[in-house]
Amino acid sequence: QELVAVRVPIIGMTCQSCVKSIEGSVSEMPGVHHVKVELSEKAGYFRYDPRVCSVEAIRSHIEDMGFEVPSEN
Amino acid sequence: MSTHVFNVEMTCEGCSSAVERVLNRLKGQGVESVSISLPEQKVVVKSTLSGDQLLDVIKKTGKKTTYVGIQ
Repeated sequence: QELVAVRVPIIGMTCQSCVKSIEGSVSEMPGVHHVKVELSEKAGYFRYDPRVCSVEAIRSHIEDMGFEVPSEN
Repeated sequence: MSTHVFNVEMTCEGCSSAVERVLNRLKGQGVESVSISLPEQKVVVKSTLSGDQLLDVIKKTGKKTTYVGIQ
């Protein structure tokens, strides 16, 4: 099954512990297969199974964690 | 309206502002004021919501949180 790769801008991270808490928490979401958060880029890279997960679910999950997720359009 | 106190494991400025942001989103929906002390790892919330409801909101930030009680 083809995984969807997305880049999600994340504002509000200041150190590695924020990065680790986001990576840890998002990786527990169903359907998420790959998680990489880049503090320097203020963004996260995620690969997920579109049948089970969606970029909106990932975005709202990160927002629930207390970070800003500006929409990229 | 009561003042709830939580111990929240916050290691940096980013962590405390994350907790503050999720609670600020509830301002006007049950949360009246939020005060956070990073050195004391304490979060004090004046709210009409229950301790459990607030605990859930803070726990979603992924940080270890324990409910201390009502001040």
